[in-house]
Amino acid sequence: MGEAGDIPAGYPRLAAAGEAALLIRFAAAPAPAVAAAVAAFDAALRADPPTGVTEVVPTICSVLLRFAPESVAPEVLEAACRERLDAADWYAASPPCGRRRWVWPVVYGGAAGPDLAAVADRAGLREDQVIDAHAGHPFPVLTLGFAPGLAYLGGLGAAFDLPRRTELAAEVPAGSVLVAIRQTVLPATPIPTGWWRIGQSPERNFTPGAAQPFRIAHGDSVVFEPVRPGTAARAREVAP
Amino acid sequence: MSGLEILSLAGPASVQDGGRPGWQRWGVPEGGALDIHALAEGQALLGNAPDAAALEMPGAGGRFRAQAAMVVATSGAEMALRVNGVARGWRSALALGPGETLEIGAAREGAIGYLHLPGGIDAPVELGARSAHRRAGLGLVPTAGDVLRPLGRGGVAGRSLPRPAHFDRRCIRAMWGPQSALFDAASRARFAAETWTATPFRDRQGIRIAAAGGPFEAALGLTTLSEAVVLGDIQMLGTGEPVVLLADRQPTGGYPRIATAISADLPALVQMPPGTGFRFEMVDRATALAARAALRAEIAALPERVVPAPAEGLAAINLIGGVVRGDEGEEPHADRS
Repeated sequence: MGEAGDIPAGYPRLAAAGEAALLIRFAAAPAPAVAAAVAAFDAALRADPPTGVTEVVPTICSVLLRFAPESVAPEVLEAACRERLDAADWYAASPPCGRRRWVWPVVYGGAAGPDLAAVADRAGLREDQVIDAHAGHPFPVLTLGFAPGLAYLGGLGAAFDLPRRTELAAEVPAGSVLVAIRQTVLPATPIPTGWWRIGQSPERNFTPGAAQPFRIAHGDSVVFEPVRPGTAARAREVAP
Repeated sequence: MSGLEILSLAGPASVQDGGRPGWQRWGVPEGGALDIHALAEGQALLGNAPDAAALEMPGAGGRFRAQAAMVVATSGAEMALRVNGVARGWRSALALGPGETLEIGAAREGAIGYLHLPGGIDAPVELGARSAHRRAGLGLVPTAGDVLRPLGRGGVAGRSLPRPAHFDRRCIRAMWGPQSALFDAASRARFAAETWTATPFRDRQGIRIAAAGGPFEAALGLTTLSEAVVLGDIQMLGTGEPVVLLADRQPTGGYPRIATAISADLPALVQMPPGTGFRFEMVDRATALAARAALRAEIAALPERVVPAPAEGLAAINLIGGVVRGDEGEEPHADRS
C-alpha cells in the first residue's frame, strides 16, 4: 500500500447503488492517493470492462459501475470487482495514460466576472492578486457533473475558501468561470448557481454534434490564461 | 414530410425516447421517457421500434393539426381526447385526416401522457439519443407552430391497449443504498413506515414527496461528497423533504440519499397525480431485479395485448381509407386555433 496515512481503514468499499449499479468508494474524504486510486481503477475498468458493465463513472472519491442485470448476476460482478481491487495497490497506482493539460483562456473581471471585486474584498486582496492566484497554475479536474461538460477543478488556495451563496441562484452563461469552496467550476451550458463568477471563457467544454463533444476529462488538469475581452483565444493542449 | 402541427401546448412537453446512457462521466443526464411502459405502449400500438421518440406531455397535452392523413397513438396518463371536437378513446391508435384537429386535454387518470407518430418523431440524434434536455440544449423541446414529423409511415388505426395495472400501485419498492447510513436508525425506520404523498413539485429531474409526519431531520454530518447518482435515488433536501430522482437527474449529487426507488416502480410513481398517497416497501436487490425482469417481460408482451379499440373501433377503422369527412377543402396550414 502507499503512504499509510493516506489510506483510510476499511476502504475500498463496495456497495449496491440501486439494482443495477455498484459503487466502489476509495475513501470518505478527498486526498491525492484517493484521486490516484479513482483514476487508476476507472482507467483499468474501461480498458478491460468486466462482463455486463455498461458504464463507469468516476467522481472525487468513488467509481460507479453501471451494469446490465440481464447480462451478469450482480454477485458475479461484485466478485470480479473485489478480485480487481485486491490485485493491485490502487492508492499507489501511477497516473493512467492519456491525461491531458489544457490552457484555458479567461477574461477576468468587469462584465465578464462581475463577482471578482467581491471575491477580492473578502480575501483582502486586489483584483489583480486574485487573478494571479487563479491563473497560471495547473488545477486538477476533480470530476465532471451537474450538467453536460461541467468540470470541477481543485487546487485553489485559502483566498478562494468562499461559501456558496444561499440566495436564489442566478443563471450564469455557458463559459462562466465560477469559484467557491476552494474549487473552480466551468459550466459548459447556462446553469443556475450560487458560486462566485470571476470570469468568462470564450471556450466551452461541450460542443453538441462534434465528433468529440467534450475535451476536459476526469483526471486532466487546467491552467487558466488571462485574455482581453474580445480576443479570439482558443483553448489548447500542452505538455503536462 | 408533412406532420402534426402544434397549435398550442398546455405544459412543458418534450420529445423523449429511451434516453442516452453512457455519458454520465461527462456530466450528461441520461434523460428518456419518465414512464418507459407508456413509451412502449405507443411503440406497440404503431409497430414502432423500441427507441422511437414520442412527445411526453406532463399534466395536459395541447392542440395539434394534421397536415396530411396520418395515424397517431396515445399512451400513458389517460387524457381527454377529441378529434375535430369528437371525443375519442385513449391508449389507442387513431387516424387523422388532412387538416383535422387533435385536442389533448388534462390528465384524468395518471399524470404524464404520450403522443406517438409512425416511426417515432423526427428529432435530432445527439449523443446517441433523441431525448430532449431543455437546459443542455439537447433534442427537441417544441413550441406552438412547430411541426412534429413522423420518421415512418403507416400505422393501423382503431387498435388499443388495456389500461396498465401500475396505475393502481400505491406501494413503491425501494432499496437501501450506500448513503443510507448517513441517516440514523429512527429516520430510516420512519422513512420505511411513513405515509407519503406525491406533491405537485415535480419535473423531469425529480418528484418531491411529502411525509405525513412532516419534514425529516437533516442527515448526520452533511459531509456527503458528490457521488454519482442513479435512477430512483431518493435525495433528502436541506429542508428535510425527499426528492425521487428521475430521468433528467443530475449525474452527481451532493445531498444525502436515504434510499433508491426500484426502476420497475417508477412508471407507477411518475403517474401518481399530485396528492396521491403511497408507501415505500423496502426490498432487497433480488426482489428489485425480479420486478425489473417482470416489467421488461410485460413491455415485451405489449404487442400481443393490442386489440381492436372498443366501441368506437368501427368508426375509427372506417377512417383509415380517408373517407369523406367534409373538411378536405380547408387550407391545411391555415391556423384555426
